Amino acid sequence: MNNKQTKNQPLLLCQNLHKHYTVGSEDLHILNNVNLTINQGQFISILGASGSGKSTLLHILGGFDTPNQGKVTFNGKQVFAYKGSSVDKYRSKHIGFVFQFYHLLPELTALENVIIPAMVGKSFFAWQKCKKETKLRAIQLLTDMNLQDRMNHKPAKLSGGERQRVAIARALINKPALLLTDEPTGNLDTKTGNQIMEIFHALHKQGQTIVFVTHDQNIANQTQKQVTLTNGKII
Amino acid sequence: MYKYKIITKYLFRKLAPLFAASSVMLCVAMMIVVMSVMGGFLNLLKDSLKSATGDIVISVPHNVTGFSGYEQIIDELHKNPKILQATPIVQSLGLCSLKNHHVPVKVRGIIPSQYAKVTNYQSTLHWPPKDPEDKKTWLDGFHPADKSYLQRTMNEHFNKKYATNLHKKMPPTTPNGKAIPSAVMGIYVSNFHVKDQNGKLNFRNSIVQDPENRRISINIIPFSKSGMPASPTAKQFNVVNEIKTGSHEADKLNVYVDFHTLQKMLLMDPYTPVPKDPNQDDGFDDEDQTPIKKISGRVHEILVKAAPNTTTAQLKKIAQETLIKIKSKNSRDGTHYESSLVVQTWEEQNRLQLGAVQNEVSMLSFLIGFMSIVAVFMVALTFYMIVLNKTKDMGILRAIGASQFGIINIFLAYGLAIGILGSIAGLALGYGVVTNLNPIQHWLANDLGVSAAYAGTIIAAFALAFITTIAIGSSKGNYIKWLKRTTLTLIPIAIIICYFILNANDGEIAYNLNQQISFVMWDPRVYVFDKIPDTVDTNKAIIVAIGGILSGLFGAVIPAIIASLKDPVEALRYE
Repeated sequence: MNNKQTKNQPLLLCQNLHKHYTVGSEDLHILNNVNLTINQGQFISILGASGSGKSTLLHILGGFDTPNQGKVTFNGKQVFAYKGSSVDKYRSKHIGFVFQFYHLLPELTALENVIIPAMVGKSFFAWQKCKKETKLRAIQLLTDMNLQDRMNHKPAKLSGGERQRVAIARALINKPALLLTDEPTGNLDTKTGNQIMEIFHALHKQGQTIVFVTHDQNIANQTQKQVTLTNGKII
Repeated sequence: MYKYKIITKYLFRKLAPLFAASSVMLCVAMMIVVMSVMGGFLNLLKDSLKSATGDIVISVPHNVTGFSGYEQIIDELHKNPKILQATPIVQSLGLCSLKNHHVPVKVRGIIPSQYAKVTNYQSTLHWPPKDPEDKKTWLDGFHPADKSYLQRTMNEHFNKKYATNLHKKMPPTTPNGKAIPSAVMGIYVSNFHVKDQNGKLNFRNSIVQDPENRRISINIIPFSKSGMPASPTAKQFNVVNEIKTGSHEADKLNVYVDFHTLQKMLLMDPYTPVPKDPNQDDGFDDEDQTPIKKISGRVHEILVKAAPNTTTAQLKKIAQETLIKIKSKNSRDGTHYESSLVVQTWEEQNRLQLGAVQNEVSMLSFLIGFMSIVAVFMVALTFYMIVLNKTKDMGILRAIGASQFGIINIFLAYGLAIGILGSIAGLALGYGVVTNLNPIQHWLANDLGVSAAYAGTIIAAFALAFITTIAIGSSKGNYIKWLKRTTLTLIPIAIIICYFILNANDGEIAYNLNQQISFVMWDPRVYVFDKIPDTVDTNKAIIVAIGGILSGLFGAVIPAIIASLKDPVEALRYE
C-alpha cells in the first residue's frame, strides 16, 4: 500500500456534509450534516437500509459525486476545493472503488480490466515507461486473487465471485490510500461473499484503509468500526 | 493512454462502428469516382481543345472576310523569344462531296509544318492509330498483301509525305486521273465510321483505305474584302489521312487543306492588280496615277503557341502589346491596320463548350457531396447508439479517474479513427474502381451473360448438392461431410457441362447470351472519347479523404458531448 501515514492518523475527514436532490417539486435530503473521520489503516463499515444515503456518502468520499454543502478533507487537503481535473486525479491516484455489480468493461479481458486504471492520466510515453512494471503488478494481484488461470478471460466468461475479485484487483492497481466498497458481497452467495470478505480482511491486515458500505449487520460486525446511517444522518 | 485501448477494443469488437466506417468508405469512394471520371472528361476536353487551337488566337470574331497584314503580325510575334510559333489560318464553311453524299464542313487552310508546332496536328493524325491496343487490330480483316501495302502507305507515304505537306499533289491512282492536292479530314466527317462496341474505329470503314472513296470535292463561296459573295469555287482533294482531336465538334466538321490553296479559293491571297491599259482613255489624267501596290493577303486567324515556361496569360499580354506596337507604327507610316483584332486564349475561345462540361462536373460533385452528408449522420447515429449502449462503461471510466474531457476525447478519437479507416478504405476502393472502370464496363457490356450463366450453374449445382445431401444424409448421417462431397463433385461437373454448352456451335450460345444479358454503363460508340477516364486526381482524392476523416470527427461531436454529460453515479447505480 502506498500510504506513508502513521496508523490512526486521520486520512479522510467529512465535515457538515449535505446532499439533496430536487425531484419535481420535492426536495430530497439524502445526507444531512454528516461528520465522519476515517483513520489511516481503519476498516470501517457504513451500515444502513436502502435509501439511507450510504452509497451517496461513499460516492462523495471518492470524489465521484459532490456535496451541496460541507467539505471533505483528504490528507489535509480539501477534495472539492478545486473542481474538474484535480478531483479526477484524486479519484485516480488515491481511491479504489469496488461496486456491488463489479462494473468491469466487457470488451476487456480480466488482465486488461485490472491494468486500465493505471493507464488513466498517462501519456503514451509515460505509459511505455511503466507498462512492464504495471503488467507484472496486475498479474501479481490477479494471482493473489487466485485468478492466474482467468487473466485472459472476458468478464462474461467469469463467475460473480471471479468478477468481484477482478474488480478488487482493479481497485488496488494504483495502490490507493483508500478502498471504497459498495456492498461488494451483495450480489454474491454466502460462500463467495465470505471469500471476498477474507480478501478484505487480508488487505486490512496489510494496512489498507477500507470503507465498506453494507446493509448486512453480520458483515458490518466483521469490521473495526461501524457507522450507521439513517435518513441521511449518522446516528 | 487508456483511450487508445478503449477505442481499439470498441472499433474491432463491434459491428456498428464498422458500418459507420463502411458508410464513410462508400461516400469517399463515390466522390473519388465521380470527381475522377467527370474531371477526367473535362481534362480530356481541355487537352483536346488546347492542343487543337494552340495557346491563343488572334482574329476578328464573326468575320468571314478575315483581316490583312497577318505577315507583319506574325513577323513581329516571332521576334519575341517567348513565342514558339505563330501560324495563319484561313477557313470557310463549305460543302464536301464524298462519293455518295454531301456533308457541310468547315474547311481550314493550314501550313502543316507550322500548324504542327502550334497544335498536336501530327499526333492526332489517326492512321495508323497511336494506341498500341488499336494498332494491333487496325488492319484486321484485310488480305495480307493489302495489309502490308496499307501499313507501308500509312506509315511512310500518307503521313509523312502528304499529310504534312498538303500542297504536294498526289499522283493519280487511275490511268485517267490527275495529280490533285491532299486533304486531311476529321474522322467523323465521312459518316463511314461507326465505333464498335469497344469504342474503337475500324480501318475498314476509313475513307483513306479506298482510293476511289478518298477523292473528295470541296465547294465554297468566297467573299470579297467588302463582304460581297463571289461565284462558288470547287476543287478536288485526296483524303490522305483522318484526324482525331478528341473534340467531337472539330472531328465532325473540320477538313484540313493547304493554306495557300484555300486562300486562293477564297480569293484572300495576296495579288498585284492588273495595270490599267495606257491606250484606254478613262477620262483621268495619267500623270496622277500612283504606283501599283501589291494587295496583302487575308487570313481569318493567327494561332500562337508559347515557348516553354510562358503562361497563356503572359502570351496574351505579349500578343496584345505586339498589336498595339504595330498599330502605332502603322499609324505613323500611314499603313492600314485592322483595328478590330481580338486576342483570345484557347479557354476564352472555347468557353461555351468548356463551360457546359464544367457546369456538369460542378453540379454532379455538389449533388454527390450533398448525398455524402449522409455519412456524417451515419457516424452520428452510430455514436449515439454506442453512447446509449456504453453509458455504464463511461461511468466505470469516470470511477477509475477518467475526466469528462477524457470521455469526450474517447468519442472524438473514435470518430476520427472511423473517419481515417473509412477514408483509407474509400481511397483504395475509389482507386480500384476508377482504374478498372473500363474493364468493368467491358465485362458488363460483353461478358455479363456468360458470367451469369456460370454463376447460375454453380448455384443450381449447389442446390442439387444440398438436396442430394439431405436425401443421402438422412440415411447415412453426417450432413456436413456429405454436403462437402456432393458439392465438390457436382459443381465441377456442372461447370464443365456449362462450358461445353456455351461454346457449342462456335460459341453462338455464349454470344447470344451476352447479347441478351448485358448492361451498358457507358457506351463508347456514342461518346467523343473512346474510353472512360481512369486516372485518379491525387489532389482531389486527398481532399475527399480529408473530408471523410472530418465527417467521422463531426459525426462524433454531439454524441461525445452527450456521453461526457452523463451522470456517472446514475450510470453505475444498477446492473
